[in-house]
Amino acid sequence: MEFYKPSTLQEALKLLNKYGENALVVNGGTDAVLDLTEGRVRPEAIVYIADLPELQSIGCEDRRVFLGGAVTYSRMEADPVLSGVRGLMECLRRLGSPTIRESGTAAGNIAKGATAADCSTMLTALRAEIVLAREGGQRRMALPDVFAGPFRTAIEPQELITRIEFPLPEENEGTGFVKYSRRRMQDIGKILVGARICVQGGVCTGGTVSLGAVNRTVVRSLDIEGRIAGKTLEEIREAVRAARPAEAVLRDSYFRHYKELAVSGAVCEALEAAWKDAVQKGAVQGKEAVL
Amino acid sequence: MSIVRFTLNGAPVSCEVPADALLVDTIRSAFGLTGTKKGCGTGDCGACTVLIDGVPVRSCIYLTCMADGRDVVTIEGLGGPGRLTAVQQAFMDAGAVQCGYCIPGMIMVATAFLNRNPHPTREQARESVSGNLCRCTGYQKIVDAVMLAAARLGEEGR
Repeated sequence: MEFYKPSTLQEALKLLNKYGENALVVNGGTDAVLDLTEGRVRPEAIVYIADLPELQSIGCEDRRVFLGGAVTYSRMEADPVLSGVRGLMECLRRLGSPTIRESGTAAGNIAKGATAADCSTMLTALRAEIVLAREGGQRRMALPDVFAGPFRTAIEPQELITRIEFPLPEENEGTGFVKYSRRRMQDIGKILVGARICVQGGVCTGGTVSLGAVNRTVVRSLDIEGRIAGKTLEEIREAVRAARPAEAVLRDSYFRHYKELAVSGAVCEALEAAWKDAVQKGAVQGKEAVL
Repeated sequence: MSIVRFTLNGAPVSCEVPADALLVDTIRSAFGLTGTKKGCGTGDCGACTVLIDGVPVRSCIYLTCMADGRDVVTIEGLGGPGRLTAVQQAFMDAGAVQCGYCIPGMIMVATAFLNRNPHPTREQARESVSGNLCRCTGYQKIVDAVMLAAARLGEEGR
């Protein structure tokens, strides 16, 4: 087993091209190193990318947020543009522990493809896309499409996530995130919900809702999205509570019954948070504020 | 095997390790610094926390090779008998220590936290140690210690 610390993205991609499936990409290491120590992977090459200069940027251009592939959660938490994306901030605050957030990255969270991935759930609601680079080319992929199964993604072994992008929420858009877990801090979510909705004239004109830990992968809930469009907050509450999201396909487990009972309530809470955010942002902008 | 060079508690060091060597094991075995504890070994308990370039890192999920060229500080690098840091002294004075196993990690996290946030609220202090597990004290006295250290550091700064 060889350890490589490439100094440029090109060099890293060359290594991934050479070693393919036998390479382990280590970014923050919070998941990847554990896979190594627990013997789940036995790579020929460890490719350490945390310091690659091409993966460090964070910012917003033409109302599009971009995050480099090696940007840590703690850098996201401290970013002034992202601080206005309430759902994402709530997601980060509940993610791991402060120490884990110093090392862990959103790109690593996506590449791992965990079922209960906090940040991937919120980024799915934010309609994020990733840029995947490989030697001699790159492609883009929308977030829920990346997830192929529990801990499986559509990312090829030769590819690296260089960038995550999502449209910055507009003034009348609000975001929310809800995580149900046994401990408030440092725990795996039992139910995760991300929401991004547009509120205009007292009704929700549309939005994106994502679910984590209730299906084989992080998913988008087109069912819930369809139920909330054109509705007031009270109507949304009623529509969401009427039935479980169709995408909450729960496997048999100790938590199944609890999740079945709780998932609609979690969706409701996330939508309420997103609604409140949209209305508050609208009020700050001097627009109509209808609750 | 890879040769890794880094700064350990202020002194330049080097060692030859396999690619998958963990920093916690290297610190304890190759350098004999056993103040850093290995608890869970899965990055959950925080007992193995060290500072890397000033940032708290769990050395049980950190490869030694990743430390190449960086500045690593362990509990031994903070202060010893007769020259304790304010955080170490506060942990003693507040009675925050029982069995002591989690304390090096707690102190490393609290040190980094207070460097960045010298005037924390109690809630922020609680959150700062939320990723470090203690099975003895019930955390109250640990949070007391972080607040006591903050108060003393504040007085020193004045």
